Amino acid sequence: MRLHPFRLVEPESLLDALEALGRLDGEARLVAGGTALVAMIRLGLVKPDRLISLHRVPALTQIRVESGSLELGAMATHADIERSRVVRDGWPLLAEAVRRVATPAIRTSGTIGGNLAYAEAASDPAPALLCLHAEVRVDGPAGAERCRSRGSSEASTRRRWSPARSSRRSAFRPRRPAREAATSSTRHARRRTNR
Amino acid sequence: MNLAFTLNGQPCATEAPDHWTVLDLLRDGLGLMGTKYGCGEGVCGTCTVLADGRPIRACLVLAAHARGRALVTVEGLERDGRLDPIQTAFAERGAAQCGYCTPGIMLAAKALLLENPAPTEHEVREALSGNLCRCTGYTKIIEAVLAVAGTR
Repeated sequence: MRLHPFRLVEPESLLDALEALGRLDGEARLVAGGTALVAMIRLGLVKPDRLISLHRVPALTQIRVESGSLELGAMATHADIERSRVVRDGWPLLAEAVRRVATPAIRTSGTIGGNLAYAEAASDPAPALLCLHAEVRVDGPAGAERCRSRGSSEASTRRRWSPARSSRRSAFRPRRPAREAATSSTRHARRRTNR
Repeated sequence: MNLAFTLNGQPCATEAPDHWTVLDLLRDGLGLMGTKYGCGEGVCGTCTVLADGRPIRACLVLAAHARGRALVTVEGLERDGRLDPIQTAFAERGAAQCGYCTPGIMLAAKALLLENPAPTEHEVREALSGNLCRCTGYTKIIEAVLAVAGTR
């Protein structure tokens, strides 16, 4: 069964991606790994005429530490984050959370940016990022802004069907927590899941 | 759009419409029918293939995203007329019934063994957790993968 036809735009820099997003305002959807959006297109929930793919923007896949903070590009995949030595050593709660996303093949393609933009109520990484006081940098045609993560299921629901607005997020900076705090949060998460 | 990638060890250059997925490309563009269409939503796992050694859902990944990557399908498991040890183990242990899920399961197992040659049973179960089989009950599948790994 084919997907509803669309034209694909493949910018090679964040600047070009933002330019395309501004030019196609309201018509185009951003696609990262496609694990949510392609399924939604398949089910007929959305029928975009154009997709702007971010897979050719290399800067967005970065996983690095900058001044003690972990920086994740929006296109960093769950598979890369869960295998990252830096993340496993410094932010074990996050490594544990992304390992719980869906199944291995979904984690290969699915991205942290796509996960937050889709705002699935059962998202595994989102509460981990909340616990780590992550800061989200949102880039859009009108500029960039930073917002501190905070819990609100209402906000998640509202954003869910508005990827054109919410998927402009491009980077996250979980602040380095005390190691003890991260470990205790990880244990807490495990207990809850086993219930 | 033009696409160039590696398919089962060979360079491949082809064209595909923008809205095609990797599954459309493999089956309809290239005539490789070993990769199956199941649910189309990334849930059942029967369309699983490898991209750079990791499992992906061919029904969810856009063909454009395969550009420059190394894909392996079930047709590429056999080398020089010799079955992959995973295929031999599945055959010997009767780890398939209707067979529809089998290509995806063998590739999910291949991805696991490439990264972790001696997995525990728990790790095998986790690696195959995204592949549904409605015939076998999984026991022989798990046993076959563990047999290849030499961990049972």
